[in-house]
Amino acid sequence: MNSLQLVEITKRFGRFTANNHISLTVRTGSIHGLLGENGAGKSTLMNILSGLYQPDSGQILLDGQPVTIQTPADAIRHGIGMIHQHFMLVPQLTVTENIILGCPGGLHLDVRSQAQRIAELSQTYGLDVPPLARVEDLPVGIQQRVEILKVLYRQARILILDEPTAVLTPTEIQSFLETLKQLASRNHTIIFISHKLDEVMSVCDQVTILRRGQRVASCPTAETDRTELARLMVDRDVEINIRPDPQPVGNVVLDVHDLWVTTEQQVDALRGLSLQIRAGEIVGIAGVDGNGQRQLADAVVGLIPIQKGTVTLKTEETVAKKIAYIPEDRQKQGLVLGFSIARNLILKAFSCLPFCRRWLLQGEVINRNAQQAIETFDIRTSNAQLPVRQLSGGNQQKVILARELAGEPGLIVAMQPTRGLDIGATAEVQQALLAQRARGAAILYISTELEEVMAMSDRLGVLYRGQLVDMLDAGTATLEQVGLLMAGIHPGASRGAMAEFL
Amino acid sequence: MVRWQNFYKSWVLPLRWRGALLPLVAVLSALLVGAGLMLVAGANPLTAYGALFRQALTTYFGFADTLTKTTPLLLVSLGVLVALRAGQFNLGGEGQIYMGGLGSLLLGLAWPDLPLVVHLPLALAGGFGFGAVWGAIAGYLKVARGLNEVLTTLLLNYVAQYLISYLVNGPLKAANAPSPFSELVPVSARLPAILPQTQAHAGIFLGLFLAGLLTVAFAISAWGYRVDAVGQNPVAASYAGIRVNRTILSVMALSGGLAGLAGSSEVLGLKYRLFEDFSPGYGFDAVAIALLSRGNPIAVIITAFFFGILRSGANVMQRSASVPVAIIYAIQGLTVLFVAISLAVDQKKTPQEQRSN
Repeated sequence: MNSLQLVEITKRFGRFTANNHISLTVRTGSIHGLLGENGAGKSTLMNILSGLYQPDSGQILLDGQPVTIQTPADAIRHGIGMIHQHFMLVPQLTVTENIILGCPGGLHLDVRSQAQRIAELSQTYGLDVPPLARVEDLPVGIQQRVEILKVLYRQARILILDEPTAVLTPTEIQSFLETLKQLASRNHTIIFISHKLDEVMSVCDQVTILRRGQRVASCPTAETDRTELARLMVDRDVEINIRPDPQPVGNVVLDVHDLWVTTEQQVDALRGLSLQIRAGEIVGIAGVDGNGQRQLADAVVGLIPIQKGTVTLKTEETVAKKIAYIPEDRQKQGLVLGFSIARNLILKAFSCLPFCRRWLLQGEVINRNAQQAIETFDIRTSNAQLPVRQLSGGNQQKVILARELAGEPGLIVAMQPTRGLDIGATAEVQQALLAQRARGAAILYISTELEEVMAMSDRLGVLYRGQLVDMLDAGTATLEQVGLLMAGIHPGASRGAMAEFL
Repeated sequence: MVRWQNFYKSWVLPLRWRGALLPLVAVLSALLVGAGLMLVAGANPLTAYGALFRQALTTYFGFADTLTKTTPLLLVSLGVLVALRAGQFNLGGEGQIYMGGLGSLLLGLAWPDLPLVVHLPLALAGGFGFGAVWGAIAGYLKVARGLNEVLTTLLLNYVAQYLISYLVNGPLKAANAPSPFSELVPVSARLPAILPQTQAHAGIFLGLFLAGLLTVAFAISAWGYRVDAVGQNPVAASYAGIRVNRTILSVMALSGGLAGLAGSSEVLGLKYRLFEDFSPGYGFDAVAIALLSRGNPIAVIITAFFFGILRSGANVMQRSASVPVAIIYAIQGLTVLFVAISLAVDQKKTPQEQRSN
């Protein structure tokens, strides 16, 4: 029985066609992977299914019956529940309150009996949650269970999960994927949106690949493999997360000693962290988001005050004494979205020669600089005067790279440099950073994408609650080893290694 | 705060043709609703508007009066606009006008024997300086203490207004004055009249010059670049090494200074004295003018002139078409309302920029 069918769905935004005659069939009780680069149309398609958008043409069939889904409430009535990448929870409320929020009920609210119901529900599905705990006190993995329970409580039969593993640790991912399989065995239908090929291969029965708004393939996962899926997604041969060849390293460029940083909320974000990076070396920092990564990056580049300890920058004479910073959130921290490409490229140096002479900006120099950057970094745009707001995420990141890597910086701090980028753009960003490494820059590479940070680094530190719990040789470290460290579980065996490095 | 920021971003930034169209629609809609109000009041809107615009634009004295009203509006609006470009809402134009008037008066009275070429610029600088201090107080409270400038500028208005009231009732009151006003500023500190037998004065040229200067500064100077960067994304600006707090503080001072010049022009060009409550709400009109102009100094000239027309023609309209002046204030208020509405419509039409991927 085909539980859900999308027939020839088309959706346009202005002249841009986000979904072009996409058809999709999902069997009841199966896990269906939806793969595609950013902008391929995954989110648009799922937003149509969950009632946020109306298709321009095409049909949605549920159990063979055509349905129209005008609003998210309609979607819930038809048993379709969406779990967004960014959680839609009220942190100050309890698990129970979050789950029943918005559900119809009388004037009397019996939280206790609702909590009882939720406890039963969570046992049925093996999704353990404390019903009366406040959501903000729970780890991310549990919060995600709350999101899933929220749609199950509304009796959803079809669950749409938008990149659900992006925020989880490797251990959490494992148990999450188990949960998905269990839900499917109870005859729930799951649509799993991701661009992580491994997860799709391990958990999905069927996979559909979208590219530039069109369906390019749909096949059982048993009949395909990673390489084929990657090729189908990007339509060209790209490889990411390739381990760079070892190269000799130079002098110490960055020396961080016993660094303590306190946040505005008076929480110790970094607790006595020490770290050295040499020229021509990439030191990766792995860890679950929120363990002090942001403070480490900000403290190294001097954006926030240090409570205790030192950050010393010793650049060689041949390398300009300059720090490049690729911030975590390119739209909020890296770019002025309303400014043109050319203007964003001078954000750091607008008041210096050659861009500024006697308080006046030198338009010609600025435009020439932009042309050069557009060519060097292959920024796809019609012209340099386009506001960066109109560029794709990958091209926005290239604008930042072009600005930050100009002038051969001695130290590069890269914070989640490939976050949200598709495979093609990820490869380009990684290549640009590896070229800097070959030139002799010292690179601090902070990422929550474990596979990526392991592949890109020469040495790998694991950050847990503001401390580097271990510093590993990235060439020999294993995923399991790092995964345990990220969760704060420290195998006694590596204590020696730690002492050696710190 | 976030809402203000979004409002600012979507309204002030896009300077395209469509950007010019929307304010125009807002103004026309306001005039249309105003016409409805006139009908309710039992007057003929065509006669009333006819009288208003004919008086304000085609008669010698009416036009001069329009210029007289436009001058302070233009200056204070430029002040609000500069703050807006840096992402700051200066609702304190009114108070800064009062302080500017005070500064100009004090320097005007201080040295009665100076030649005009020295004395007038000095008196203007006094107005700018006093206004700048008033703006900088709000700027300082913002950057050092995190107080929202919307509140502080608004509240500082009262402080300034009552301070002036006290001064002209007390220490600055002219000898034997029947009502609260100060001594006359000497001729050497006065802005020259530009149209014989009218009150129109050279302050308008000051406003036009400053509007031009700001246009150029925002287009090609490093200062303009910095202000825009801070206004559009203070976080990215600070990541790029721009001293955001310093920029905000200096822009708030400049904003207050420009508004202060509006007070100077009233004291040095129109009344030659400091009066109690001498500004009829120019500082608040300025917020509407700056928003309608979407951060564009040249557009401010046109918009300030339009508001000047409304203010100058209003009385004649009342007399010849028996429409209460209050209707004009209603129209000004409606304009702001329609600006907000057109903004909401505009936002709804454009699909969300960032959908989660």
